[in-house]
Amino acid sequence: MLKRMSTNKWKVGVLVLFVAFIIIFYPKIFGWYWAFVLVLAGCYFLGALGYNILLGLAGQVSFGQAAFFGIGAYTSSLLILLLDFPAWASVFLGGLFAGIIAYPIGIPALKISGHYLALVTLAFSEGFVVIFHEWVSLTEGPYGLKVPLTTFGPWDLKTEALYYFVLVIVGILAFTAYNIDRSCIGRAFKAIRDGEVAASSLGINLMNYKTMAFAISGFYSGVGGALLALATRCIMPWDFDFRLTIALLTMVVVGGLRSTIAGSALGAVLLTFFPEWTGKLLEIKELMYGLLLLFCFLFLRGGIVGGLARAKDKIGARKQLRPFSGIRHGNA
Amino acid sequence: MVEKIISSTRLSIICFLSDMPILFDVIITGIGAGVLYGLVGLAFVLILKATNVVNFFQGDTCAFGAYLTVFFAAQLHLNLPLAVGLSILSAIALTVFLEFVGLRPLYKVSIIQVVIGTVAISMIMRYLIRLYWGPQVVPFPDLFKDIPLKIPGIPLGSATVWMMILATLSISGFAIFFKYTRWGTALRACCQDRSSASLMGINVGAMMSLAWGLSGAIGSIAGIAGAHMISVYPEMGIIGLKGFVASILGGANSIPGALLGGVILGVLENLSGFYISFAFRDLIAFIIMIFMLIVRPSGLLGKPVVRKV
Repeated sequence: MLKRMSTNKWKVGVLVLFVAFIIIFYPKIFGWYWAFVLVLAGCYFLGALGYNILLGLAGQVSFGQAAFFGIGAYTSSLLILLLDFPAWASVFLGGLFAGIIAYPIGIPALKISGHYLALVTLAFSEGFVVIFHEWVSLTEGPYGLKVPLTTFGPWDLKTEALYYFVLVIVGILAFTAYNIDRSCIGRAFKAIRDGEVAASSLGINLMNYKTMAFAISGFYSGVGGALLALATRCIMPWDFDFRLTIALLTMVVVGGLRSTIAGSALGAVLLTFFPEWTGKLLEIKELMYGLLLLFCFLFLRGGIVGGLARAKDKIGARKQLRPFSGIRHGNA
Repeated sequence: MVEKIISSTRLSIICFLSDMPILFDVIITGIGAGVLYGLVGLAFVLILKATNVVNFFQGDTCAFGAYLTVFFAAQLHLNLPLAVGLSILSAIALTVFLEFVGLRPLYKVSIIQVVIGTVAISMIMRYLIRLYWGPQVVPFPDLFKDIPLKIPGIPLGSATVWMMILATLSISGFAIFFKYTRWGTALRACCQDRSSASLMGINVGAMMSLAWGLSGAIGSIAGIAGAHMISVYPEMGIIGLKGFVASILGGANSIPGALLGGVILGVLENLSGFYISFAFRDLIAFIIMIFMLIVRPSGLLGKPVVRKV
C-alpha cells in the first residue's frame, strides 16, 4: 500500500512538472496566437472560478456573473484611461470594485433562493448592460471603450509579456482559491450548500458567509474581466450580457461543478480552445453551449473531472475489490 | 419668492393638464402591452404551479409560435386560421417533447439543474430560429385585416384590441379550467403535493406534460397575437422575461395576479419611457422585479408560501 502511494505521488509530481514546463514555455512552442488564446482562456478561467465558488461551493444560483465580469473590465479600463493607473493596480481595483458591488447581492440571497435568486441576479446583470450601454459620457456606450496599451515595469503588456502577466495573476488567484476551498470559509460554504438550516444551526452565520461568497465570486470574475479588457483592449457593453453568463456557466458545468479549480480550468481551456481550433464552431457557440449544458446534466453529472474521478473509482474497485470505492464524486 | 413658487406650480399644473390626452394615450398603450405580458406571465404561473420550475424558454416558445405562423402562412401558403392552429399545435408538441426529453430526468436531481436546463433549451431554440429564418425582422401577416375593431376615443389599433380580447378570453378560460374541470383540479392537486396526488390515483407525469403543453399553447398564442406589437425577430424571447416580471408582480401563484401584474408593468414601462428616458423603459421591469422579490416575494395577489424545514 505504501509503495503504491509513493509511486502515485511520483506520477503526480512528474505530471505537474510536465504541465508547468508546457505552461512556462508555451508561447515559445506554439507561437503568440495560441498564447493569446490561452490568455483569453485564463481570463475566462477566473470568471468561471468565481462562478464555481458561488454555484458549486456555496450553492447559490446566480445568473449575474457577466455583470461582475463587466464591472471589473469597465472599472479597470476607466482607471487606466482617466487616472493613468498602472496595469496591476487597475486589475486589482477592478476586481475589488466588482466584489464590493457583488457583496450586497448576498442580502436578498438570505430571503430568496433557487430560481428566484437566479432571476434577481439576472435582472441585476441585464440592468448593468443597460447602464454600460446608456452612460455614454463615461463608458462610450455602443462605440465601445478602447483601452490603451499598458506597461508593467519595463515591459509592454502585449504578446509574451501579457501572457506571463496573466499567468502570474491567474496562478496567485487559483492558489488562493485552492486555500479558500480548504479553509474554514470553504467548509462553511459547503455546509450552506448542503443544508442551510443545518449550517445555521451549527453556528454558521448565513448573512456573513452568503455575502462573502458573492463578494469573493465578484472579485474573481472582476479580475477576469479586467484582464480581458487589458488583453483585447476594446470592450463593448454587449460583451457582458447574458450570453457571457451562459458561456461561464457552461465552462463550470463541463469542467465539473464540484471540483472548483480543476473543473473551472479544464472547462475554460476546452471551451476557449476548441472553437478556435476548429474555426467553424465560433458561429454556433450558443448552440454548442446549450447542447453541452443539457448533455452534461443528462449524461455526465459532475462534469469531466467528476466523470474521471468516477471512472478511476470504478477501475480501482475492480482491481482491489474494495468494499468501499471511496467518496463518490460528482452528483452535483 | 412665494409668488414665484406659486406661479411655477401653477405653470406645472397647467402643463400637466395640457398633457392629459398624451398621458391617457401613454397609459392606454401601456395597458395594451401589459395584457400581453400578463398572458406570458400566465404561462409562467402555470409551470410554476404544476412543476415548481421557472421556465426560461417561455419567451422562445412565443417566438416559435410566431415564426411557425409565418412559415405556414407565407411559405406554405395555407389560409390564416389553419396556419395559426397548426403553429399552436406544433408549439404544444415541441414544448411537451423538449420537457420530456431534456427536463424530466432532471427533476429528481435538483431544481438548479432544471432551471439551467431550461436556459440551455432557450439557447438552442433561439439559435435554431436564427439559423433557419436569419437574424433580421420577419414580416408578419396581418391576422385581423378583415375584421377591424375600433373603440371610439381609444388610440389603439384594431390588432391590439383583438389581442387584448383574445388574451383576456384565454386568461379567463384558463382560470375556469383550473377551478372547475377535472383535469384542472388534478393539476392543482399535483402542485400542492405531488406524492399525495399520485396516491389519489392522479398520473403526475401526465399532468406535468399537460401543464407544459398548456404553457406552450399560451406562449404561442401570446407570440402570435402580440407579433404586431413586438416585431418578430430571434431575440423576441425577451418578452418571456417581461412576462415573468408580470407574474412576480401580481403573485407567483395567482392567475388574475398575472394579468394585474402585466397591466401594471406595461403602464409603468410606458410612463417611464415617456417621462424619464427611453433607456429606462427596459430597466424599470428589472427594478420592479428585484424590489418585489425582496419586499414581497408572494406578489400583490398571491398568498405567502410558508416553507417548512
